[in-house]
Amino acid sequence: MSRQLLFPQHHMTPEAEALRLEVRAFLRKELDAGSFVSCSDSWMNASPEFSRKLGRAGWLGLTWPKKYGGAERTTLERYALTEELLSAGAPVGAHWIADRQTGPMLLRFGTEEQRLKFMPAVARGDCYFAIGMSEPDAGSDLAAVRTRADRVEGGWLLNGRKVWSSFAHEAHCMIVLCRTSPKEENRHAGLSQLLVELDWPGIQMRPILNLAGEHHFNEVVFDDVFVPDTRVVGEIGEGWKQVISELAFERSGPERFLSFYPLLAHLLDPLAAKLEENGDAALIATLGGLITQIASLRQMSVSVAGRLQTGVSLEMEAAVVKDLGTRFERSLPEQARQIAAISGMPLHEGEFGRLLSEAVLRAPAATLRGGTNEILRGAIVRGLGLR
Amino acid sequence: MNELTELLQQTTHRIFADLCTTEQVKQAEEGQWASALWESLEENGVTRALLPADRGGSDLALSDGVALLKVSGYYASPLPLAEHWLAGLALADAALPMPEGALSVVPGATSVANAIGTHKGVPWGRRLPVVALGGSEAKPRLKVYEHPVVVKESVNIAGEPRDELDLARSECQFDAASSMGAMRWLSLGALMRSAQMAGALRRCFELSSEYAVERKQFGRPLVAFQAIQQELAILAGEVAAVEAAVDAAANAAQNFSNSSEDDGLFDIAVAKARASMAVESATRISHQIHGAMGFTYEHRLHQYTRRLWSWRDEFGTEVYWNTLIGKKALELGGAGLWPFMTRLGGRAPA
Repeated sequence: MSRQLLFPQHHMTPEAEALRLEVRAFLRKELDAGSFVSCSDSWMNASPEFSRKLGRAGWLGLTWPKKYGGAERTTLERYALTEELLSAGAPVGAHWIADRQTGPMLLRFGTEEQRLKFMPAVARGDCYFAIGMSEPDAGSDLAAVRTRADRVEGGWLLNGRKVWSSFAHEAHCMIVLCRTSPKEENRHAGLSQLLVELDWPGIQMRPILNLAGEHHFNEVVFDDVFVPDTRVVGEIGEGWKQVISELAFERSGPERFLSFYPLLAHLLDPLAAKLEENGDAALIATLGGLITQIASLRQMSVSVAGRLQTGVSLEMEAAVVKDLGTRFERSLPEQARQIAAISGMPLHEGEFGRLLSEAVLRAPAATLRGGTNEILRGAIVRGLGLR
Repeated sequence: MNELTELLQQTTHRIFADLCTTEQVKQAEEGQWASALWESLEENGVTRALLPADRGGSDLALSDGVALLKVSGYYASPLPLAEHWLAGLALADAALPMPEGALSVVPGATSVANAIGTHKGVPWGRRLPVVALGGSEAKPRLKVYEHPVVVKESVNIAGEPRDELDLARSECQFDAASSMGAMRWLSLGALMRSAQMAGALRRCFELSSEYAVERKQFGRPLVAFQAIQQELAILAGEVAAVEAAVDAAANAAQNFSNSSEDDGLFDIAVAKARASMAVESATRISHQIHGAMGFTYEHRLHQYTRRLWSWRDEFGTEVYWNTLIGKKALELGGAGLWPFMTRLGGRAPA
């Protein structure tokens, strides 16, 4: 029989709930002070100033060892922190990658020198990382990367180009997936990861604007960039394995179903006012259906987060959460729009109108980023042992 | 899970595997009571599993009971085990005696007042004593009718008896104050039905994936085609989501017994709504993968899909439960919804 997907219920811990209240109070204060406005898909909004505030509060690198600037707290505490930030629509884009995946990755594969140099800076909110995976001809087919590094005295000479690197223009560093030996029959062999600092000579960057004209993507070009041996992450030739494990960090967190939650929250009050005038039972059921789906996704996502703490491999479960969650994210703005329109709410006015436009323009990315859902579903079926 | 519940679960699996065959389910749909199956469940303590020890039960936690109902759904059980359990729990709460043999319930709807007059959709009303919740919202009463008057025999689209009874003309054997209110009654039923649905959904996934591996077209198994893989993955996700929602609701409902705290109620609302919402895509995908073969009476797939199409409407549709949730959200408003959502699922058991 095929492998079964399991999502045993996990409860938040009292520590996580305590932290949640602290974060909630902090966010209330920041919102009231106008230090940020609630955004749809707020991990696509970068505010180094806000990230530094989180760093100073000790809320970045929360689960990491103290030695590397962390607070040695649990994955569920980090989970509660993250969902509070996202549900409030806070601008978390600057530190997002470094906190979510670079830190854990350095912990797993990095050298002691790399950890001590970069992780405490990340945890303070002073150092941000960008992802260096996709290329013009390597999207879903990541192993097709052509960026390559050639052996030279004391290090590697890096040449190639990376695309879709969110907030590289705010970031200090990037971990670049590249080919360090020619392609063989096994196309997953010969790949490595190099940590580059983005102000090194030979690096050029230009913005790639998204469909809304916003700048968070970048193209980063490497032209004979010297990378010393000390900046190899993990083992030369093991890049594929490392990158797959890195992708797993970004799979099933609350950002896979809460990205557009602020839109839902801002729908409620104007909707309630409209429904007083002309109540519509169908609308209330549709609204409830959205909440049901969030609650259901949250159960699954918390289950994965809780069990990750024990170190088990949950790649399939995480992939399922990401597929279900991001398809929901894709539909939420559309459904919120329908509800609002039927109730007679104006679609282009006020906070709701702003969040809706933002959500509609940003939603197409939900089922693309971190690997398309089509690729993900193929992996789920393989993981279940069916092919 | 302790040893007893593990044993009970294994036993239940074995009983259903042996006695709840495709043929048996067909016969039940022709109106035959699956007596051998019921007797075996009775002999092995399954029918009394949720009852307290002083009523001959195993005092099983609701979450463990839910696991057994998943098994019954996995085998498309034609017996009203959920109804029997609900009746038993309510009778125990009201300290009323338990009639011999299988019991059914008037699923009742949203209003306690409905327990007077005629009632449609009573599972096996033609054959079993029924327990109904009557009285008023403030003072609910539990009533037992050992031989209810049947106005009309009917079936749901899975061929399960769903009869119309006239309780006003039926003799009531017991009538006592109920500590269980209308919402608890309905939501416990909904939780149990959701558990059966989770089991049936799992079976749909298994049948579909087995078929996709075995069946060859164009010289390759169906599962080799990306179009099929995509659908199977979506189906797997729906099943997993329902299972998780049911488990969470069972844990939360365990602590929700007549208290005014309604958090457990909303966990159940999420579970039944999510289960009913999954039915459309899960049954569509299962049938699509099975092709014409799964559309025949001979193939057992319909024993699951027809049950799912029936069960999604029983003890509250997704529209009913989502409306309850939607109203709560509107009442909480934009600032109150998120704190409410993070309280769902209850606290870890101490």
